[in-house]
Amino acid sequence: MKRSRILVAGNPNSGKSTLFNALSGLHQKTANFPGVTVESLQSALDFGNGIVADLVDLPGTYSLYPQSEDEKVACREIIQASLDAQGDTLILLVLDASNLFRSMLLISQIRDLNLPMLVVLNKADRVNNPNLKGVIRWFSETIGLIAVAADARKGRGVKEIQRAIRRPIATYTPGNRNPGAPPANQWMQLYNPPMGVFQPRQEEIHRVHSVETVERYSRIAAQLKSCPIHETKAKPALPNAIDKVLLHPFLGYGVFVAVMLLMFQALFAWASYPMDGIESMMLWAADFMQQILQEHHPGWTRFLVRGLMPGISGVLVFVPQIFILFFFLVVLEESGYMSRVSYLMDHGLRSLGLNGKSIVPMIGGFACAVPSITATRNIIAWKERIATIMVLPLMSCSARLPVYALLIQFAVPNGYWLGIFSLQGLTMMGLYLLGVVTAIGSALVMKRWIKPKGPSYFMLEIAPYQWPVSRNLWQIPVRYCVNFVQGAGKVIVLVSVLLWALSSFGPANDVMDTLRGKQDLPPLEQSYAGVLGKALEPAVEPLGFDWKIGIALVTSFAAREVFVGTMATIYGLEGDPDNPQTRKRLKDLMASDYKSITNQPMFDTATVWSLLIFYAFALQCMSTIAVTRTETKSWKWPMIQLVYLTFLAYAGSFLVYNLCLLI
Amino acid sequence: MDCAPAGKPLRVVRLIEGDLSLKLIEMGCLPGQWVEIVHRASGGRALALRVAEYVLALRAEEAKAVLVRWGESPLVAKEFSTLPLPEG
Repeated sequence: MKRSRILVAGNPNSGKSTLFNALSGLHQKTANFPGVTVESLQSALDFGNGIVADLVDLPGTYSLYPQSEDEKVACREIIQASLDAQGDTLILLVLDASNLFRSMLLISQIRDLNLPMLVVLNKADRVNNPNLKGVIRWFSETIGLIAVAADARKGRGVKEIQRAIRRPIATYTPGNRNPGAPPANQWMQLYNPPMGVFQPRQEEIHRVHSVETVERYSRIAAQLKSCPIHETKAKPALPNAIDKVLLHPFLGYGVFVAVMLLMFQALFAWASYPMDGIESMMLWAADFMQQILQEHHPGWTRFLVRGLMPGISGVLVFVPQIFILFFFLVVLEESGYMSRVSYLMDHGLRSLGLNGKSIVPMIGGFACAVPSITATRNIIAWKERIATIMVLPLMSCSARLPVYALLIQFAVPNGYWLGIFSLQGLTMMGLYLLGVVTAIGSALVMKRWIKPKGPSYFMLEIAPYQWPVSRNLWQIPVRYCVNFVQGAGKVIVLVSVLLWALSSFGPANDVMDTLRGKQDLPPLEQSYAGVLGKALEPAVEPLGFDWKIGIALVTSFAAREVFVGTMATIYGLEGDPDNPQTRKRLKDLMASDYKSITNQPMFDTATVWSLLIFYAFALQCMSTIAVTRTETKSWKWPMIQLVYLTFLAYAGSFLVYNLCLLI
Repeated sequence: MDCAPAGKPLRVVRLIEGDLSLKLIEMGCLPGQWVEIVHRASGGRALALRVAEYVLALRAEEAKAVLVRWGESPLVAKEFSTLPLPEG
């Protein structure tokens, strides 16, 4: 079976990902923000008749001469395709029809590689229709390429493209209508095919390259004289009335804070209704299971009701918050607001040693640090990129949300400030702010000792405002929720089952007898988990934690949210397992636990705050460590990250715990 | 360009060699092209530059690499001949 490749290439923000989504049906995240695709995504297209093509969405690039990491990904794919030269790769070149001039550079470079290429005039709604037909004719007559018009956001032209890419790839080999020899592709000297890497650029190549680019553009300008695209309906992104406010030196920041406040209000106050619903439903299901199974299989009932169910419940309950978080991120990115925020904040972020573009990964860090660290690839300045990666885990990710949500209930009463703002919501926002402030402080320290390397400048395209595509508003959050349940969920359920086993059996117990219900469960303290936790206790005691929290800290190193599942399993095991009266919500179970010496509530203000601070700072995430290693290509940075964040967490918790005790 | 007036048509005279200039040239911000500063932010430390149909955010300090002239300024670049560009 022949497997061809279709590379979706083009300038940043030309609508490649939207078209990729429309063609593949897989809804990869796109945004009205240049540089959202930083890695190439792949999707298999089945054309029937045993023909399968891989559709690859490349990061945007303006030329085949890369400067940033994401551009390197795109250029490597395209250049490699031309070197392989098996004639099974089609370039689907997407361009913004209202920015034809700029797209022509990339087209002319790829054309000179003799790769088959189909041009998509995207955002066709911005150009007058008769002009568009003229442009398509111009492409075939002057450039020797086949072009189709499309409006990927509205799904127009997608059918035509689907038909077009089914044709034999040879159809799209550029016709030889380009008069004169093409200018040399100077950037090819930089590419090292066996290694697949780009060599560092040298000064003389720099100069030669700019001469080549100017030369190409003068040819393009001459060719464009016969192209009827001079009038477009599109208005430039700036100036406009909305930006008078959103980019205002004072109001702009005010709006940003208000948007963030709204997001946190939604995350805490609004999400609580569906969350309560899910929790009650899971309790009801557990009760139901206990009623029908208890008589015949008491041992297994214990496993299901006390081990597995709390784990599943602990995962599902956070789905509403994750949905809301990603909903907000989609709206902010797709509308074009994010690029304004980057522009507005560049100066401030730069004085911290970061970059205006850092704001996107950092807000994304509220969702998850892992994709956000990858998203730093479009920051050209190495120093600013590394600093961003290093402080990113301090942005409170969605995995901390469950932990905060559970613990805040013990630290702050359920009241309202001014009758509108939930106190717990404000505390939550405070914790997020603490993360941000600490990130700023850490960035300032790192600015001093990270050495700059390679090019360093800030440049970002500000796109016109647009309404988010409505299907993205629910499809992207849903996809992330599914990812969370499948990915994190598996880990959490696995850990809670393992934990249940460790805490149900002890050195003095027989496993099978316990399962058959012949033997009672050992007290938690005498189980394997208890023994382990007790061994850990001296290390966490100065922070106000006991051995149960110690177990949770260990298990949540795999992923932070495991903390809640662990607590649910540990506390679910305590009390009389066969008495439904003792099976309460996790919160109530935790509230009824007391410190053994002082007989004070276990989760008193000091311990809870100490725990909150620990979770705000600690790098309890294996995936983050792994992705930092991949992105920085060394173990040095992830190790520094782990050490400094663990130190911050331990010191911070110790300080807060002792301060609380004094008060 | 960092001290050029906002809201006036500016003509790019030349770009001082560097990474940013190279990127700008690749994006079609060439000598001879008309551009316009459409916004200034952060107390003038960042600016939004319109080139043809798109808007770029730049740091004012780094934008110094772009030399422009405006009004009846007699400054004309000798080393770059003006390119025949479509009106933007």
